[in-house]
Amino acid sequence: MLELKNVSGGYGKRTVISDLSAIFPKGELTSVIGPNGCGKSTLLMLCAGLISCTSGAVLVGGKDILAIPRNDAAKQISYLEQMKNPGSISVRTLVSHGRFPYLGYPRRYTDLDRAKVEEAMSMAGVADISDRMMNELSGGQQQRVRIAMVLAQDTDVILLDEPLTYLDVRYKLEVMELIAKLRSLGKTVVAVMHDLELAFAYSDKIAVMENGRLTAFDSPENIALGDTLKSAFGVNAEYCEYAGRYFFKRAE
Amino acid sequence: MEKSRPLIVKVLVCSGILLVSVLLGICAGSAWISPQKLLADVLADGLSPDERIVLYIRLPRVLAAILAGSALAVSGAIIQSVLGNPLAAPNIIGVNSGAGLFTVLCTAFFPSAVRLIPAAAFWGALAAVLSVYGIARKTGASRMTIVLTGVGISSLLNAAIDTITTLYPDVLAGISSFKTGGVSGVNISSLFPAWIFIIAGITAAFMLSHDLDVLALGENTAGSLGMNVGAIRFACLAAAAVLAGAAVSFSGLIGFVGLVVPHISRKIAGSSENTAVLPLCAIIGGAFLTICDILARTLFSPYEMPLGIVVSYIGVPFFLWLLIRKKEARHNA
Repeated sequence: MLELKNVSGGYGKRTVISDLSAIFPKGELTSVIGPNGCGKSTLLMLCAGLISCTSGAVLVGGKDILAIPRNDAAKQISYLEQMKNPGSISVRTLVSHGRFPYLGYPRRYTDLDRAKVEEAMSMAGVADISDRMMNELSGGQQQRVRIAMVLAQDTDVILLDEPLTYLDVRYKLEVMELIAKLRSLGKTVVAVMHDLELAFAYSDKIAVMENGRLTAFDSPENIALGDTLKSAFGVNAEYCEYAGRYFFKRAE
Repeated sequence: MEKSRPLIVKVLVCSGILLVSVLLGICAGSAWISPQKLLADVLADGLSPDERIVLYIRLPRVLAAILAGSALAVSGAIIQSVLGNPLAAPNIIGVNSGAGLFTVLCTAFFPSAVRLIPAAAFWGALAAVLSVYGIARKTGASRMTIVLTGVGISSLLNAAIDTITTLYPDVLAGISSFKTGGVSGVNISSLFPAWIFIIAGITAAFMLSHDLDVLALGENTAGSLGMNVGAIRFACLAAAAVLAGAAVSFSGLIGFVGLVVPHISRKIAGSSENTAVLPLCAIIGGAFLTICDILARTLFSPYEMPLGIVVSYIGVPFFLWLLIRKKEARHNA
């Protein structure tokens, strides 16, 4: 479980997030949505302890993340930043880096580490490409490998920053299904999302953000009924029975 | 590329090349001394003239080339990895010039403190690398901006070196062709204590190689994996500065080794994983500079070219090729 208590914070003197409280329960996927620059990514970095709150606290398993040694925090909460050039590194090596918090010095992998890496790779469906180089793979494959790295980190809480960016629609669905699967492992998954349709189709909860504040935090159904989407994006949600999905239309 | 072959095989092959280059480095020169003759001389009593040449001139030279080549190559690989910039190298971003300035300053103001030069050079290199890193961070600089920043800092530091050498003309009397760089005239005692710095720096780099790989994933990813990013990054850059500083202190401003060799090493390793790349850099860097030095003394024999010039003839076209290739890659993307 991940709990935010009156969290404020940002970069240097610039406050991006102000007085934000939320509880992300175990085994649920929460999508954080909001217009560009509303502080979604900053929120995730605060949750990961990568930047410090100026007030309030981020609690992981009931403990303040900034009070836990970094190495131990990394065993409880993992964070996948936005896609970038992976460099020339093999799939297995990248996934193995997920075990970094568990390595003593010298950085030698134990049998447990190797088992966790294999398990993560087969869960993410990348076991068959484990010897390939990252820069030879498609965007969708790369993203599944990156998610496998996070799985190898074996944390209760997983934070994903725009996991679908730069992906073709086919890979978007593929990666989204993998993310939804993480719930069955009892993980708390929080993902910053741009694609509203996929966010509504796959998430248990939607968190709507505007100007560094949380304007709604509820199930997709209730968010669709409310007016926060209209305020944040200028759109209304409509449910299509036939497709079993929400669609979004410009609000009049 | 050739990932299939295990690292140990690649290391052994490269070590073989290094060994051959060392042998050639001992035998070749203004006069060829054959290995058989040398072996016979060594077994016989007393020091023959050839033995003297090898012992007092060629061996120190080869050692200096190996040490400087390994140090600069590993230093370059670290800097490229930390800055995430394949064009960054100790000479390009001003690290060598920083080390050079402090070497010259140390020689000018503390002429008797020869043993302090590597330490002084380290501080110069560290100051240069941290300022380039600081500027890059402050401005969120792109690859090219980092390179240009380095060029700027490099020029400034070179101007400072020229100022000192103008005011104190005898400063560089002891170091032949300091600004182009070279290992001629190096003797065993001038390698001390620099060689200790280099062994220590390379050891530190190897010990940090796994962390360096994690750091290369990006500072947020490394941080979320529990790494103390600031400390590890500083340790890596400090190791790079130790290596560049120590190399510059006895070989002058040899450029481009730190650019060319890491690229070759990554090609041979078939990946950018530093756990493989750094050991290869150490070996190939030594072999590369030893071979360049053999060329320097034999190409226009009996005249000898400064080693730095030979390296530039190889390094500059390589640098330009990298620039052009990168541009194409970006256009295609």
